[in-house]
Amino acid sequence: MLIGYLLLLRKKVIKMLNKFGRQKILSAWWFFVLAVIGGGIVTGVWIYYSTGINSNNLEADILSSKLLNCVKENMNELTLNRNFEIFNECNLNRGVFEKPSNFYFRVFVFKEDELVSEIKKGDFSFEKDCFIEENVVAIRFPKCSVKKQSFVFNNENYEIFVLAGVNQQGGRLDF
Amino acid sequence: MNKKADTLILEQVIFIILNIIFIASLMYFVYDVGNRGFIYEEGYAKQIALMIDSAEPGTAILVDISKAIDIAMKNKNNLENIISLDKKNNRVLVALGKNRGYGYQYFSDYDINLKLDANWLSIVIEEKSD
Repeated sequence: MLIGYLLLLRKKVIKMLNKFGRQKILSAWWFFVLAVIGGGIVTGVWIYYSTGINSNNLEADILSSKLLNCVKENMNELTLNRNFEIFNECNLNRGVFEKPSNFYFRVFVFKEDELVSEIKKGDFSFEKDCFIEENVVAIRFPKCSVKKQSFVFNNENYEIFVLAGVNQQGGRLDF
Repeated sequence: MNKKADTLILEQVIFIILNIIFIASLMYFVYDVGNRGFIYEEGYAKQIALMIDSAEPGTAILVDISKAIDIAMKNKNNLENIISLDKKNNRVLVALGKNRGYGYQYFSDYDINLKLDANWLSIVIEEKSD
């Protein structure tokens, strides 16, 4: 189809140029057309492959689910012990949540609408950035996941609210 | 008259051959870029990091990495080192070419063992022993 279109285009150009007796210029014109098409395809392919794969929303979702389940399983520890060690209890690496970090989370535990525990770790600036994307297109901003769950523990109503954000671009490394 | 017609036919033949060469090289370029290592490096690194993060301790995962092995063999890379873990920075490293690779962080704190077996990568995730 492309060859057919190019042949048709060439015939038209020859016809037009023949009127002026300048058929020789055709080769230059033709190479220009090829360069434009080739350049367009190369640019398109380069843009497509340089975009990368963004898995931040998946990772934020995994982090929030993990925290939600972990906090729920450790309610005894959390309510009795003020120094609840979330990194050890939830199998999270302390180092990756130290600044500068690609991760952030904030966990609230409410008992009958009263805040009984709040834990936040990672890059705190993500919390504001998480919701910017709702209004504007922000490509390099963190992707976030919000989860909450209500349950009964020791005959009292509890609610866990988790916000998790991830802004990891990954990167090429030299070894 | 015949000489002019011959020239015209020759011109058309050369024109068509040049077009075929041009389109074939473009198609080869698109195919070649799609099969280059850097795309697979990123894909495998992110896939493995997400698997580690979503796994529970005591999980064993098998990942088909036949495409990564093909590319690494093409690049004459040592197969033992194509997928590794940077445990200090909690990062999955995938290197299918020479001296360069892709790194992606995971947030979980487990004891992780990677083992390559033919076209499969086995990931064994255990609770961290202090």
